Amino acid sequence: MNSFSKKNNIENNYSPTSEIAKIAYQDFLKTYNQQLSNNEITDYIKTCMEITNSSLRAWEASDSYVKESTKLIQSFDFETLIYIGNTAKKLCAFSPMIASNYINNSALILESIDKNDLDRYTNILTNTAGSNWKDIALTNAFISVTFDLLKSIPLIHIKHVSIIAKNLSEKSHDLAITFLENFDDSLNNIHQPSRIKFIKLVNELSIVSWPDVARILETLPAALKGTSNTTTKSFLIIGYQILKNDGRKAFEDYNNAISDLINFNNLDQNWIAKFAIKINKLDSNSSVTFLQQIFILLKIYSKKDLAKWLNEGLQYMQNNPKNFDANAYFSLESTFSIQSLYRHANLELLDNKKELLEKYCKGLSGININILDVKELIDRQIGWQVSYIAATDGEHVYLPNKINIFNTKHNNFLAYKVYATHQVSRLEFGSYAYKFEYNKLLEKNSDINLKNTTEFSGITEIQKLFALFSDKKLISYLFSVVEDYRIDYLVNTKYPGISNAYNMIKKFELSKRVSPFNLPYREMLIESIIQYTLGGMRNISEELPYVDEYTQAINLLNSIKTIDGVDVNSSVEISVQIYTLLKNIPNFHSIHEIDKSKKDVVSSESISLLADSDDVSSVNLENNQETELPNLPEHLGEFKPDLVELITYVKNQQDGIESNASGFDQMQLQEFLKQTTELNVSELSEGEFSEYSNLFTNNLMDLSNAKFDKQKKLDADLENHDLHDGPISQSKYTNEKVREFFYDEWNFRSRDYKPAWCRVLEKELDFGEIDYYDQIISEHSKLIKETKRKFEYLKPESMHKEKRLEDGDEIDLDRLVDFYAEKLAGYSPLADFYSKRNKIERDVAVALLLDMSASTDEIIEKDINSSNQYNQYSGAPGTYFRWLASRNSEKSFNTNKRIIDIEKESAIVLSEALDSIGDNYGLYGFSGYGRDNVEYFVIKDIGEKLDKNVHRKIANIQPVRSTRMGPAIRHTIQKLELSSSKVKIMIMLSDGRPQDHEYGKDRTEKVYAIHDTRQALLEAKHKGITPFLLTVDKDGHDYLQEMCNDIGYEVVSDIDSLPERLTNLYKKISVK
Amino acid sequence: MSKKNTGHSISVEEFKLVNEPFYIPIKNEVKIFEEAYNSKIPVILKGPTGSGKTRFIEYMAWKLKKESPSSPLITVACHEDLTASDLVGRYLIEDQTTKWIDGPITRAARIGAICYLDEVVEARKDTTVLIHPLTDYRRLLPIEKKGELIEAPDGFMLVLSYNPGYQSITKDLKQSTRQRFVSIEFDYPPEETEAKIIAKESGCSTKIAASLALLAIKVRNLREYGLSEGVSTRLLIYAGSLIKKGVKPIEACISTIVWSLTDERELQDSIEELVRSIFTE
Ligand SMILES: Nc1ncnc2c1ncn2[C@@H]1O[C@H](COP(=O)(O)OP(=O)(O)O)[C@@H](O)[C@H]1O
Ligand SMILES: [Mg+2]
Repeated sequence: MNSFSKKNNIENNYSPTSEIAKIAYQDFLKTYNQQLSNNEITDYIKTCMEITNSSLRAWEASDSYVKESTKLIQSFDFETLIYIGNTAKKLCAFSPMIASNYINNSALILESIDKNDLDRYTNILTNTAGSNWKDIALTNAFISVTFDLLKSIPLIHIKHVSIIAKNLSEKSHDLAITFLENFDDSLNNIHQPSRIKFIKLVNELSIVSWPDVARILETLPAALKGTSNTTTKSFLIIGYQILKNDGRKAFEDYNNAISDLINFNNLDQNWIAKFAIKINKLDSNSSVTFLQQIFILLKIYSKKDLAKWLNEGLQYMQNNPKNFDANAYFSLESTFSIQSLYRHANLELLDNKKELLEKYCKGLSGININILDVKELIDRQIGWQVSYIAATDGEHVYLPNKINIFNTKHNNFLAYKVYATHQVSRLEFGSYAYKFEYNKLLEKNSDINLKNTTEFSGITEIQKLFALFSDKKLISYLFSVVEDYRIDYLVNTKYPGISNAYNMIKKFELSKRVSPFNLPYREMLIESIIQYTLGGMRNISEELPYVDEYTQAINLLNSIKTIDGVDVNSSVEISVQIYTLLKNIPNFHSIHEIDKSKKDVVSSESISLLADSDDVSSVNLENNQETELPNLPEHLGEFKPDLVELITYVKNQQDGIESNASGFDQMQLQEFLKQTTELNVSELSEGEFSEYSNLFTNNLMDLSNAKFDKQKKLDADLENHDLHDGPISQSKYTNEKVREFFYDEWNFRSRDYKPAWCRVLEKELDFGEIDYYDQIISEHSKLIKETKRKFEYLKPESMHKEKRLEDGDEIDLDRLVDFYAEKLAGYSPLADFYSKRNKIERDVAVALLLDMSASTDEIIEKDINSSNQYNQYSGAPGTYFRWLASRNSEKSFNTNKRIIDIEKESAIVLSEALDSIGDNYGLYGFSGYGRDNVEYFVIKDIGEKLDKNVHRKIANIQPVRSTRMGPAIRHTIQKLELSSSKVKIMIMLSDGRPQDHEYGKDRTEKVYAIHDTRQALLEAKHKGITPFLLTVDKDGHDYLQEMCNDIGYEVVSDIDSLPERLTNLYKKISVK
Repeated sequence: MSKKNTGHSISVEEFKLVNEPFYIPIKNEVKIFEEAYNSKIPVILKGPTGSGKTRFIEYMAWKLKKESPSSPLITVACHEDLTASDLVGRYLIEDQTTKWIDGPITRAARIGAICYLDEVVEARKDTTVLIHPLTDYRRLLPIEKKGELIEAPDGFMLVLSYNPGYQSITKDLKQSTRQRFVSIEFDYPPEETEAKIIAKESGCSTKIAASLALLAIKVRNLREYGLSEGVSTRLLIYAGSLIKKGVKPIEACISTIVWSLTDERELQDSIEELVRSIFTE
């Protein structure tokens, strides 16, 4: 009893606060009075008390403790109960709320962790907890999710979660809470063994790029969902490395790239991961570029081919890490890389053969054929649909963008050749030239019951024909088959050289087909005919059903070869005959074998070709299946004679070729759509049909506007460019004639070109002031005269031999003999037997390229000493720029000139001088912003006259934007290459500062731009053009000078020195 | 036929035509030429290289002058150093004395032959001084150095050739010269005719000849790609001859046609594909 009273004693020192807790407390004591020892009871009560006393509102925690006690002791043991109480006590130091929450969740959590881990859990909590409200909320949130987290990861990993939450809460409390609330969901999308990697990555993210955490938690696991465990792991490792080494931006790219993973199967995913990790180990940044490219590449290339390319890249990375730009390689921003990929791949790409095939087709047909990607035809939405086979719309030949059906590149090229030949031969041999003549049809098919009618439905010629048949689909199908057979025959007779390639492809197509003998009879026959045209079905057993009809059909087909002047009409006739033959054949499946007698009944039916007459053909027979027409062989392309006829008609109408002015109206087009067999409109509802018909009409009408649209798009592009943070002033070009060109850019890091990297937009410069030119002429009249005089002196220099001179440095022997002979004969001939090496005709083309970048707005002073402005300034450093600005405006008030003014005046002086010696020259300016908007202004093209218009354009030369010199130089090279002159010179007038958006790693990097500029100048040299740099230098900001020591170079700070320099320069060049 | 070298850089051919040269008339050129000859009007033959101008003039010379005892045709291949005295003649030194040698044009004017100045715009401008008096109705050739004035006999005829596509503007024929001539335009013959010519000239089979003529059509479709002249009949005959000698057709075409026509890689490839479509391995 003693003990009891003792217990009671202590008991009395403690009492829970809430009523429920009081009851729970009493219950607990009652229940466990016997089971627990006195000491234990005392310990328990002491714990309760200690909790209550540990802080101001700690009674909440002790109440919770009391309420949970029974449950805890039942599920675990007394020891645990006390342990939890003690921990709660500790947590109360931070907040009783944390402690309560801890206690309330303990029963649950203890189910998932080992008792020995309790300390660890406690540690996590005490490390997380804090006494401000944010820490309290965070810890509470953490405790609340721990139970769920424990189902996903072991306790040791949960510690990291708390650390992440803690990291995040330092930046944003809300984010930390959201993180805790959602993290488990994210984890569930990651394979169990990889979860720790994911946690590590998120941890890194919380340090490097915390604002992205919420988004990444959604997107990254979603991207990895469905990948195998090893793949997931690899990608997480890669992501971690990227984050660690390359930072936030790179990781973002990585995350975006891998969102494509879900579109690939596990095998592909593993494959990607395997290479990604290899690359990542060598250079994590390159693995980002790799991932950005690989998904697209996998759609084009086989894994086998890509692997060869990738391994080559990896090898370079390993063996030559210093000199190899892996980034450029894996992003295919390197010509070397593109060539390597192309070399390794068996496929053939349209891009690589387009020009060749275009010329080939033009040669073959004499028609100007554009070869286009068949996707363009599909995009027009006028009926063509299959992206991997060829087509023609009567004007262009459309080919798939890649062919990969054979295992050598050459054979795939041959496939291209066959595709193109077949399409172009349709044009050559008149597949679209059918003229509907009813009477002719009647007389040739007298055995067929054609009704004599004068009204025909159908819009196009071929439609009128098809409309006569009850099964339009079948007749149009058969027409395709026969017509293709005809084209095939004609091509192979006229161009026997291509037969082998044709046969190779036919064999391939044949190999893809199914056996005809499992098909219903009519389909069987059709399939057999198709296979025959592919070179199959040569030995047919006599036993087979309908073998006679088959033989007849084949004979009909082959009659093409015996018809004199066979044309599309012959194909029509033959297809009509085969149609009749097939209509007699029921479409039973052969397993429904029917007796001969029935078959005979069928074939004796008379067939009407007219759609509106009663169709008494086999269709009425029971068990007859609808004929499913087998796919036509792919190498023949999508043959749509009906559409082509329509398109050709519409186009001619728009071009004013078709005299029939009435044209097609909407009604007729709808009628066309209803009648045609080439579009699948029969299944459309009425509403759908009218929508389709509107769309179709619009797309059709857009056809001839296609070129127009392209121009519009370009203009829109340009406008958009003006919008984005375009520095400096508005562009000064007219939008009328803008032509685009693409040029490679030299990446000195990879020592390779970035293919088609820059887009040059060539435009004419607008007119400026009328009298500017004349003003300059009068201002510099002396100078111009001087320059002209010096240039005149250049003029007679030549390598040509001038004969018949009375004085000279060589003697012409022939002439000397003549002279003597004539003298001997008693004449007094002229002593004109001298000759001289002279240039009689100068054959020079010069392009003057003016830098029109914003930096040319700066003022250049005649006083060379003033180059260091800062030294002259004595005020406080902060006000320097204001001082400079006011000084500059002062200067422009004085007659000090800007760099651009020197350029303009030099251009005028040079133009005048060049004009006087009759050399060809062009004047161009350039500026722009970014690699896809290099503006190239034509002031005067080579060969154009120096007239008033040009004067006014020169007046309008002014600073615009940035300076991407490389593409401007390359475009000028192209211009000079067009000239037939023997000597070609390019003079670039600039301030020597190439600078543009992303023309280098960052804004301050100069080397990249300079390297590219220098490379462009070297290209000019290789092409026989003499490049020369004239730099209007200010303050020694000329970055080009040191790099371009192998290129002609001079500094002009003063326009008066220009004639001297230019003549010298000219002399140098004519010595060549 | 004899080649003569006058000691100067001039290539002159003088013909004694025994057999009828093989020539298939394409249009009415034979008739026009005959009429011009009879009316003593000089003629310009215009057309791309290898289109049969030379062969035509040989044929016409034979046709019109079968009976003539002397050479009916004197041909001069003009080049940029060719001067008037190269054409007229000059004194040579012989044992301390001088001897006058007639130039080709003088010789033609003396013997009444057809004088054919091939690619005349190549020659120096002073040659036109000679041409003009010969083309008006008096048909005179003044030889200043000898103080002689030759009046051309009936059988004399001046014929020039030039290739409009090939010459640069600076080397065009002057209007004042042009207006003195009747012009006959030459182009490559129609497919079948060209096939016959190829077969006859090269001795290859008619099938090969037909294929070569077909190829020619295809290649000429590519004129706008920098092959301003297409492929000449002459090149086709070369190809036929090589094939006749046993060279494989595709190889023969590649070296005679593909490589001769252009140095541009892609264009070569395109033409090669045309060849490979027409000829079998
Ligand atoms: N109409 C023709 N009849 C016969 N042979 C021809 C004809 N046209 C061209 N040829 C052949 O073409 C070759 C080249 O013709 P040629 O007269 O030398 O051309 P051109 O003088 O116009 O450059 C001739 O050798 C000849 O074999
Ligand atoms: Mg000739």
